[in-house]
Amino acid sequence: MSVTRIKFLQRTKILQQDAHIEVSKPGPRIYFQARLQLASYQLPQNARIYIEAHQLMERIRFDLGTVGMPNPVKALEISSLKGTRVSFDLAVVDGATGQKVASADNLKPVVADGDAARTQNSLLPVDTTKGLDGLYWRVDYSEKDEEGMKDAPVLLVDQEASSSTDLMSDASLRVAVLPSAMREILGRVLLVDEHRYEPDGKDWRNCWLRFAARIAGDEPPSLDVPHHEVDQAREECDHWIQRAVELFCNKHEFLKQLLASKSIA
Amino acid sequence: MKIRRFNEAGMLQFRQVIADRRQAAKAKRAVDPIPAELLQSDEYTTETRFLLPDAPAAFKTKLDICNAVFKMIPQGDFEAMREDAPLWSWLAGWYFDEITMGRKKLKEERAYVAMVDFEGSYRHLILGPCFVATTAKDDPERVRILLYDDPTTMNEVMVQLGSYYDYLMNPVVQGVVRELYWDPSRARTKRGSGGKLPGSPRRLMDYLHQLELNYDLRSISVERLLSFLPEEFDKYKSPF
Repeated sequence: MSVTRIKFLQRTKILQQDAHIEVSKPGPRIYFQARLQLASYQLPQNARIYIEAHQLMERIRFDLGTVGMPNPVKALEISSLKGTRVSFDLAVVDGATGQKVASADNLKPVVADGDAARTQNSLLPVDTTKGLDGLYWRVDYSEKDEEGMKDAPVLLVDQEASSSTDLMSDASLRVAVLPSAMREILGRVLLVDEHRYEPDGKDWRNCWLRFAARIAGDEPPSLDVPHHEVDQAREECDHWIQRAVELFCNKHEFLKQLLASKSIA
Repeated sequence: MKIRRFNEAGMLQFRQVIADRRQAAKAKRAVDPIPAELLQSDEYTTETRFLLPDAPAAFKTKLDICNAVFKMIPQGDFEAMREDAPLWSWLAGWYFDEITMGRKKLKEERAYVAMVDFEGSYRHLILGPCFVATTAKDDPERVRILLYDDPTTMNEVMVQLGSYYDYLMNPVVQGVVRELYWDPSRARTKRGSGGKLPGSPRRLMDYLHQLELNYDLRSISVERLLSFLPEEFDKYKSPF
């Protein structure tokens, strides 16, 4: 049974460049500051500004005042969010109707990390967590993507075993985890969700297929075929995924780097 | 006696015991109780600062579980203790008979072995109800629909709402769910609210996904949100 689509109303999209968010970890606690530049959007002065920090399935909401009288910029604590990566949703809301007059989803903060500052933006965010039931890693489909889909993949690693940066810097972890994770995600998109590739699509499924298509050199096979050809099409999808994963690993020389690190050791 | 928490060996052993009990139940064999040694020995557990009540427990509903637990672990301490999976697992072991209808109705492993992530924790038979109760401290009646039935039952309203952390935590959505599906005269869910038909909780979740594109579901009033729902929900808007 379908759900009648509700019209997208006159909601203004706030650009990331107008919502500068900085996350800082001066000690064991985590804070963020949001500097918003909303003057050019001509929003109602009495509309309220809300920002939600979210990480995996947890969210903390803050009231930043109104467009006309925003609260002074100050550090707001988000230490209760677990993991190491956080995104933000910003909404400007008409208080009388509850209607969103402007918004920005999934804003990536700049992380003040010692002297350096880095922006978080990734096709496969990595996060640390507790309770993976004996697993070192798992792909969790609970992330929000640019299009507001809430089932985008995030790579969870056990926080006692390693940090998210360990995974990317340790050659032995990289070679063991990333190809399998990539294979799982592409399998989910093509073989489980049976997603039809749209080269210009901005949702996470199309982003992943576009990424793999660039590596594989051709677009993914379609499962939109007559019934008697489905098995063969699924097999072709499987081969395409395998090829993309192998080319990805070759391109980034994961195995070569592992062997080099062993010879240095 | 004080509440205890499993250590690593205790968690492993408890998981194994639960697997054995579930297997026995599946094979329609007698289900043994949780061994006292596993629950009380220092080999498998350590003591916490929280006291167990002297009186034996009788949990007819999930709300009874919340009331009992919050007498042992004050709500003010709950947030700090929420991720203490070994403690919640131990409580499930301690109250195993009470949350399995006398070891007659066993559920999936995560109903007893607590997990710290949201998806796992809300399905835990001790932690889950307590977590839900803390989302409506200002008006506990709002979530009564999620807590009124027996500890082993996961009603469809809870299954649907529990699948979406944002919605479960949202007082407005809680209010809408209560307005639509709670029958105060019978102190239970309205007839027909357990299915997949038009107007069901499952359909409500689909509409909420659409509405939140344009509306802030925390700023809007319950009445206004109800007014946006299509005709298929009308039969639930009036009490019957």
